[in-house]
Amino acid sequence: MKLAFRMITVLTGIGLFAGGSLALTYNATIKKIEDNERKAKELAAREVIPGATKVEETVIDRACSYFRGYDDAGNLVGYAVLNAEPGFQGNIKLIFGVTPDFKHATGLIVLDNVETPGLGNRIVEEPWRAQFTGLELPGEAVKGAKSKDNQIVAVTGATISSRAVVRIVNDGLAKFQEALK
Amino acid sequence: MKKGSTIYEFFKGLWAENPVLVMVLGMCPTLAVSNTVINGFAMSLAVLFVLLGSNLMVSIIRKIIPSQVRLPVFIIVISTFVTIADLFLRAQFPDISKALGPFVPLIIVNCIIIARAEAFASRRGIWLSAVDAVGMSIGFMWVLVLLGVIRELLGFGSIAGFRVLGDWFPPWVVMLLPPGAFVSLGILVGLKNQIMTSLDKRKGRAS
Amino acid sequence: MNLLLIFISIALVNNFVLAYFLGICPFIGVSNKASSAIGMGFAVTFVMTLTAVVTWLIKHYLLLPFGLPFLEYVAFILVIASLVQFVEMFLKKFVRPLYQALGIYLPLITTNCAILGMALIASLRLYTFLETLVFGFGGGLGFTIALIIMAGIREELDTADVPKPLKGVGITLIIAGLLALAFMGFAGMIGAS
Repeated sequence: MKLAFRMITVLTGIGLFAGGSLALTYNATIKKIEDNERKAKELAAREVIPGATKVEETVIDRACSYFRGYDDAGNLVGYAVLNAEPGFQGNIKLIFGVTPDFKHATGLIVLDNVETPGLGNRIVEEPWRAQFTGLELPGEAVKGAKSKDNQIVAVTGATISSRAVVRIVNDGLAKFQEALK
Repeated sequence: MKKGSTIYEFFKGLWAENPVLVMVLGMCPTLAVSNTVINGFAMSLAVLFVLLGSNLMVSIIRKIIPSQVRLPVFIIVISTFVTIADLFLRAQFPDISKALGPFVPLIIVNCIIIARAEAFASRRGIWLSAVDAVGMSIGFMWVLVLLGVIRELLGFGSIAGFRVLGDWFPPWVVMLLPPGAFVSLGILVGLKNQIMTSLDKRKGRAS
Repeated sequence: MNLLLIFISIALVNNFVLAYFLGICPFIGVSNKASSAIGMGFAVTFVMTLTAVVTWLIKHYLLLPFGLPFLEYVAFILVIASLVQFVEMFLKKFVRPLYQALGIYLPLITTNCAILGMALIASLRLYTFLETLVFGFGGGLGFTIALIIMAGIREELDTADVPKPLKGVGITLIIAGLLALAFMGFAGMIGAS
């Protein structure tokens, strides 16, 4: 009986120590953690919406959300859509800007990816991403050379990753337009 | 070096009882975060924090833990320190936290920590437990950093983010991927065994 | 359809051991004989599937409603440790031979990072209950597949001439590297749509 009592006391004591110290640490850090995540997303959103100095997020589902971009005067200057879907090796998370008429993209930033370094991973590089500025939507990825305004050229040797990016953009756009209805 | 002395308990973690190369513990994070030097270094710092905290805590309360519940106690203590380390990283160093990914919480099941709690901290005093923790962590650290140097150099041409090899070097991307990690660690283990055998032979010849 | 994708992804494309570096310790420890590999694989798959279910329930009915997200790690690992204990008692009583064959490796399933890793990743990706279940089951199967292949190779290795320093852990790691390379061939199976 004495042993059982000791076991319970020790476990409870440790449990309280654990719960207490974790609650303390959590409260001390959670604000900063949420701030970090929010700031990173908003920074990216502002970058892909030309002229936006303030953005407001609306969540669509666990993989997708959109942002309204406003300038200093409070005018709506564009939107950004954040979407994540499987690419070649894993999930690709990206954000792209959209004109208010939903017809063109105004930029693209890849936020998260685990694609092959040197190949699929090159979708984060500026020259390749720049293809999405002014791109007519919905987009299409082609190998070699483009012939239409809604096409982008895939990274050489990384067609699947490139096609995935375009698919994620198009899917995100569809979800966004659906959400706005 | 006398067993039980501070010097011995510290240095054993670096070589003779190196957690990764000799005791074959903590392989998962070793392979996963050794792709760059910074990641490997950051992970070993996190492990140092958790191992030190855990060893100290376990050693302090070792006399009042009934033997039957020692595993749950170790687990609670370890996971608490890991959660603290994880929260701290996510708040202050979000980029590193993202790079290390799920491997920070996985420190909980890093066999090194629970093995030291069971084999050492629950039986020895506070000072030696702390020394053991630091020694083991540094042993873990140098293996991780060494692997990091190899993989980052061959995979990116850089060390700790600084470009070392010029453009003439085509990166061996495979070094950054699982196959490269496995093979590098396998060779390192083999090298260590080879060195140990040579050292033993020399000792045998000298006596 | 999404469930099937998750299953194939975690079992083959992003195999826990060969792509995510989870479950290495038992992978190296138990893969030297095919029979223990199969037993271990099934035990892990069983524990992983149960873990998937219980951790999801605990997260959504206990931790979140009571505002305790920071207790996730502690709660999850305690769940795993308890489940392993339960499986151990069950096997000891009802499937004695398997219990004895697994020996020390059974309690070691607790520290199998693949199990905690699976629970954490499913939680991070905000999977639904069904998705978590499939993820856990697929992950366990993937681990089993990798383990069985490795055991088959190592049994053949017994008759090969491995350089002395590489015997045991060294050569196992190098072979794991080659296996990982082979499994990379599965990549793109999901993204190619």
